Amino acid sequence: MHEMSLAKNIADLIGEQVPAPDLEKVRIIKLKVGELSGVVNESLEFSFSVLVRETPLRNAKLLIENVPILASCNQCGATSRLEYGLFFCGNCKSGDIKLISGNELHIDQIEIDD
Amino acid sequence: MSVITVERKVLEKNDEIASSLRAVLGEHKIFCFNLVSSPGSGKTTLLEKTIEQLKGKVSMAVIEGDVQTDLDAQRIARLGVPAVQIVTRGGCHLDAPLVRDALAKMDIGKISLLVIENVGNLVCPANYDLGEDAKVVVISTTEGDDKPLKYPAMFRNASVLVINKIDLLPYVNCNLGELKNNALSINPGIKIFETSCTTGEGIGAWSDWILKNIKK
Repeated sequence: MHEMSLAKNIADLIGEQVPAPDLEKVRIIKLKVGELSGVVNESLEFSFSVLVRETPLRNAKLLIENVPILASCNQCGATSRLEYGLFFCGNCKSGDIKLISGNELHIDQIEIDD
Repeated sequence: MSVITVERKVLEKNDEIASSLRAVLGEHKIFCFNLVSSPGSGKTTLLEKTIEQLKGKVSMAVIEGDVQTDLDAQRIARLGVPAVQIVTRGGCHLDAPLVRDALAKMDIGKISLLVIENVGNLVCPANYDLGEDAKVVVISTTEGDDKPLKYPAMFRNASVLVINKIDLLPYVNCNLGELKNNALSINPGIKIFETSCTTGEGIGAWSDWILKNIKK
């Protein structure tokens, strides 16, 4: 979708979180990306690598953990993993479900060289 | 190597601004919906017909989002409704900071309805909170009845679906029942209206829904 602007948000947030002299020591930025967030991993990784190329964050790489779409069923109580775009309970097929995960798009952790 | 826990949302700035927009709109008792669709579904025409229908009943303003030109804002302004155009110059969606800046150019003390017409795109606008009360997704019958299945996130996040151009049903390969079933399979709670901006069919029911949501 708009991975370059997301990459820019990530770089800005890291800039707020890490003191400027330490930015070039950032090696890994761990992201949690839900399957419903609309993010294409490869595109975000590529955008970020281009964005930080000549900045203090140039040594940082994104490590993306995809979060599955999980839902609990209001009818039978089961928790099931949903395929992208199929919003019904994996157990009883009811559409009366509550999403538990899948919309995530956040920075989880960063790893910095000592 | 040391590990720092961050746990911050990538879109946190957008979401913070959207929350403060929602609070401001709430204080002023303004009902706001975010109109989303693919390009060419008839969002602006639907808005024009809605404005005619609501004339004298509610005081409103419109924020128009487009990749280029202020043609849509001109169309709305011609009907006597204040309209601010956001030109994204390639940007695929509106975000909360853009809406905040547009709102700053408006006299919101005088309105009770704000419509945000998003950039025509069924993908990206699904994930950006603009501080609206509801997302309204428009689909036209010419787009085919499988659209909800192809763009599930948008149909899941919307609370209302307007099926537009129903006067064209005899001429296009679109099964209305199938279209509704597909939308309901993605979002069982979605409220559905059927409209034609050419014949005027359904514009009344859709406009009544808006009036019902105006905050007292």
